Amino acid sequence: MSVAFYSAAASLRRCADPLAARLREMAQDGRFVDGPLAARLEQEIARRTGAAHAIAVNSGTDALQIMLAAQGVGPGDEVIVPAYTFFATASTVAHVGATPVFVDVLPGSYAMDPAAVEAALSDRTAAIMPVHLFSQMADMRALAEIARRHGVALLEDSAEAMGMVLDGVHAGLWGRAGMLSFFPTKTLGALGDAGMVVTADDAFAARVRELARDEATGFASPMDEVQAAVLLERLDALDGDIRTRGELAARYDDGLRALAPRVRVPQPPRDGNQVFYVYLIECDARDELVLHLREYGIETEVYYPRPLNEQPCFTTANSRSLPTPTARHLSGRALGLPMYADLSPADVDTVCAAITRFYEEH
Amino acid sequence: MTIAPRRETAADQRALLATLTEVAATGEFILRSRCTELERRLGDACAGTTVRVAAAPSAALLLVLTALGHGAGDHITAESGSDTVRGVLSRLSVTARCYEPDPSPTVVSDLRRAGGAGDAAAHGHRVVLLDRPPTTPDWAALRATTAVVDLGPASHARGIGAAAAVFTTDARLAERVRMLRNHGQDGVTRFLHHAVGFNSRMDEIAAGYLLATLPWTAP
Repeated sequence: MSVAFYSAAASLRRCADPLAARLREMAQDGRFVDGPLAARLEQEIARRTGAAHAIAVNSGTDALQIMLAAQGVGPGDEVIVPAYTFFATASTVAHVGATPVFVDVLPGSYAMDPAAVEAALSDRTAAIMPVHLFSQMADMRALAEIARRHGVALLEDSAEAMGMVLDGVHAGLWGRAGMLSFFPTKTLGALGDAGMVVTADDAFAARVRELARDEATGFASPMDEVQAAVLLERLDALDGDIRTRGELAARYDDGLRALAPRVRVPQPPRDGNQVFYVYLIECDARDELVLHLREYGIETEVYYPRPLNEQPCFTTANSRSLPTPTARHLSGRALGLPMYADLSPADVDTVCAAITRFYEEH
Repeated sequence: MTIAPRRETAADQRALLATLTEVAATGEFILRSRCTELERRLGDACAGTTVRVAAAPSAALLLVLTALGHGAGDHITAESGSDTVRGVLSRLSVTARCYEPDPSPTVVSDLRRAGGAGDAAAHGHRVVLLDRPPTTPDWAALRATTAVVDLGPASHARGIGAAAAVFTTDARLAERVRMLRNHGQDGVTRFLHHAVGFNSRMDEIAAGYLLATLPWTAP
């Protein structure tokens, strides 16, 4: 009765023949990094997102890194980031020599609180970097206005936001630049690390390409052609996959809603669409539930067990933080359930039944 | 085991497809069993070293220098003025005096902290860059504590994408590199970050392909 958190097996079986053909192309061409497949992928992502420029790189982390470097963020600068997000949002700020400034997030959207951002601004603020987590975008109207009013750059960590749109603008294109991650479990995932920077700004794009392609900059990060080939083949199914994820999420909602308030299902966004990269619940006795589900062979992910401002590596010596009570609260309650396009409705029912059993017994 | 030179064959294509299928089926995408096995076999071929695979040579060199504690304000002597070396040193804001090495089949750079205060363990630490995995006899001739080895498409190993390995006789350095390459995590507890690490990971496809195509031979 096992249910994997994520699986690419069925998806890859469906595109095995055309993928093999692309890999033969690659072998004949002789370029295994930053070649014609990566270039084709850039065009396709640009077309889908509406970006004027899409620059392929080796990972989402590298995309964040290069975006910050291209913006000129460096020593003496601060970048406002949410405390509740994946590590790379803040580590990349530190790696350009700048200081991450952690702010709290809003319940429901899990995105940075615009009021907290206003409070965090200083004369050292070089950029604001919102993250679009799990299934919906941050409050980009408010954040864009704050950035405009204070003359600071808006750079989006839109790693998880493939397919997310607000007011007709794709995630990543609200400010100077954004980025996408194609880590395997993402909505559009490769079979290893891969990423992309997206922007409407010609000069910024040129700088990103220079950093990403020239070893002498120290930021060179070409995308592997193998990963580009996988992504090109999976791109055709993306719209259908997003729809299916939405249907699976609705089935989870139906199966878990009755467990409120002990289990809270994802809230729909106030604005913009919802794309279920992750189906995240908030729940009582989260860690015990994880163990219970594991006994049934059900895999889950705790996103995230500790806010970034409480990590051992971030101290007052290398970061600054405002109070983050919501981030801390979420880190004790949030749990990602299995979610991928080939997950079956029966598997969703199995997960819901196991969760229901837990709360009946506890 | 040693590694002899090879040509790309149709068998290599089949190995790639088989690796892709296995990776998709098992859900092991990055830094899992194939990477561990590749580290073991490369290490077996070069006695006395611990091997840590990474995303690319520049990424691997960045890991090594960061693990050694190099950073802004440091002065280093480097034999090579290669773009990789210059780029990484620039990114770390490390000042280097670089020299072009004499032509050699093996590109060697000698990064030694040049005098002054600093970590005694790092002072005199010799890091070399190679375009092929070293073997036990090679290692003695290198007079190095650590080697960064290119395993990518343009290297002797002819990997299927950007790839590299760090060979080192320094166990502490090996452990530090292992942590730094995966966002500063210790490999036991996810999302607990002990250091401000990087994303410098080899993926399972790259490792699986190298395991299948490197011509391992019995000693």
